[in-house]
Amino acid sequence: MYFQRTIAEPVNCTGIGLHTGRKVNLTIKPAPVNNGITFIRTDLPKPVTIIARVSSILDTRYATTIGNDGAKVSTVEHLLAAFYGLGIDNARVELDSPEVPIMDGSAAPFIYLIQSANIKEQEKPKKFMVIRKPVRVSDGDRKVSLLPSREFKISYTIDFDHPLLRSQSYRATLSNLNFSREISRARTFGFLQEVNQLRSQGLARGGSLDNAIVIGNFRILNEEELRYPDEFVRHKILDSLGDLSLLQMPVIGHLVAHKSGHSLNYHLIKKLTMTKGAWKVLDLSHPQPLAEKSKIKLPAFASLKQLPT
Amino acid sequence: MDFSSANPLYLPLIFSLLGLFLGWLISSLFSRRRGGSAREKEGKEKKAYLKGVDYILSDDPDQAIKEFTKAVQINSDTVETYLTLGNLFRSKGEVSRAIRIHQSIISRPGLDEKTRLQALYGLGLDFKKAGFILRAISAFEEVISHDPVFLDAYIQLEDLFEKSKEWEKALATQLKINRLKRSKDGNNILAHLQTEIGKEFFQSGEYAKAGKNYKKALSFDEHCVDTYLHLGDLYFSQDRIQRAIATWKKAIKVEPSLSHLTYHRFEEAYLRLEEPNLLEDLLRECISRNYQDIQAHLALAKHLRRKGSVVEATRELEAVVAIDPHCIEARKELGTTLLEMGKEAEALKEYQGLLGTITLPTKNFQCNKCGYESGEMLWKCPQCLTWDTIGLKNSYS
Repeated sequence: MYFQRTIAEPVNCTGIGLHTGRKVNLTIKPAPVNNGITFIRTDLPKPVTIIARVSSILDTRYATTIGNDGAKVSTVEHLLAAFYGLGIDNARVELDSPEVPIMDGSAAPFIYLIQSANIKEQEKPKKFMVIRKPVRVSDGDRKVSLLPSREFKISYTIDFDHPLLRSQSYRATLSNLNFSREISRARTFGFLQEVNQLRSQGLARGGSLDNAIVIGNFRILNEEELRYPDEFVRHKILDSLGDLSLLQMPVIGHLVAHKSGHSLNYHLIKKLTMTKGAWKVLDLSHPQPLAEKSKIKLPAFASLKQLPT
Repeated sequence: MDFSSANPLYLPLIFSLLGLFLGWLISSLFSRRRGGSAREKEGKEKKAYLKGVDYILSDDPDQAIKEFTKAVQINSDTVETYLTLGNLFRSKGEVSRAIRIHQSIISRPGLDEKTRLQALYGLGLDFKKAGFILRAISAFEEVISHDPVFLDAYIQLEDLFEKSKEWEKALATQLKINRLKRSKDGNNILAHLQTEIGKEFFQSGEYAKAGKNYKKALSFDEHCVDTYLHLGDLYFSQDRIQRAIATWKKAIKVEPSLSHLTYHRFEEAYLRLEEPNLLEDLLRECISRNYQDIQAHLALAKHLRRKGSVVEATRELEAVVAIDPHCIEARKELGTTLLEMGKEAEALKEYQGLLGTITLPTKNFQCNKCGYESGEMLWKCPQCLTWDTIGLKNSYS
């Protein structure tokens, strides 16, 4: 039986905001069953709660921004991916800034943070979103789709017109995938020209080689080597998992993406939620003929024990 | 062993590992009396350890991690190998593992103080690498509380305070660094940090405090252009225009190559004083000092155009084009001015001149692996030494 998960005790950290370049205090607290992931802006005169769900998405340029009632939180995808990868369904994230700290540009610090708060199973079973019909969106040669599958699979391809970064592909099944080991450490990346353009717009003030891989014309500017040979495509998968988590339950289906990004991911999950019969909720609280018939393989989330050193 | 080929990031690690190995060798010579199985165990550990060092030298931290892990599995008492492993995990972004390793070393009973502080410093680096600002600060502060002359910990702390824009703390830490180093090399940093404090006071409208900080900054480094510019801005905002002008002139004096940062400021100030001629005098003076100063010519052309001296303005723009035919700003301005003057034939000539400056790149070929550019087709890239990776650049294919 798969039960919903939260963390056992509150945990906090202080990092730097990617765009403001200012310190951000972030606290993750346990939340009751069926709460989902909620963000609370504590720096506002009256705290505002923002539910991490599709209808909260405000902006998908450069990062995913969600909001409610005039308040917003940006760069949520790495933290959401960490929750998704560890199978955390319920948590309250309090922060005193309009953006989640960038940490090292990956989800690994959040994995450490969540695991140090101990993961706790709750009394209610987990729900899954089973894809029943293909849903596709595209924009020119960029495309992403969710197809019916017995298990959660990802096939991702990136293709850039740059001598140092052409095409990379990655195929994985979450049932076998060790999210912490294989995906969570992949850092965000950008091309030097884009970074300069963002800075000229007053953005990315907290961005540096400490929290991103920067690709110059002829070399990667970071001194340290890549964490994976195909770190770029793995990071795109990390971003996609964060975006998919806005569906509020893990997906059982095959995500096939070619040159996708936050914007296309958003259109995909929006179209999915609005397409009648494209998905069905697998609720493990009572016997489900659907699960038995189609022999669905549920994803293997991280064990409740901390990863061994 | 070829150190020159090793990643410079790993050099400190390599030297400490070699030092450790020598110590190990000497202790082995004195322990011949031990039994066969102990010697065998030690042999295996040594072999794994040496292999690990070898992998670091050949820039393969993944394999190095495997070998060092083997070494600590054979002998879990070797703290130094654990420290190395922790540092390697950090370098690969495996922060959870790095943190846990350093925490486990710190909590070992009977550990000598020096090793404990090294592990604590390593833990601070882990937190810093992962972006946990406060945890990193707290680890480095603890190191310093036990060893007040641990210079590297101060350097890391100063960097963290800078990153989190805690300028007062960054300044205090940089002062300590200077004292420990017994050097004034960091005085330019002190001036910048003090100026940042001043800027924050300026933004919150506390002008007196801002001024005090700017002046303090200049006491650290009287060549800090950043400070002169902002001190001038402060005077300007208080309507002390003459004082502002005098301060910006000091910026030009200490660093003539950065004069262009003052031109728009002077323009605003002299217009406020309704003394545009003084602006003209100043810009002409700058040009007379350095005729190659394109920005001064451009600022003067703008001023001359504003006062209606279009012919003179054109002359300045032509001067810029003569200095740098690729200065698009000047060419655009020149073409527009000529058209406004009704000199269409001259504008056309200028346009033809512009076309002449557009030089097509001669390096049409590029390696699709490393980005090396070449003017001719090569079958093996001379930079990354790979066959069949060079082709036409995208714009030509």
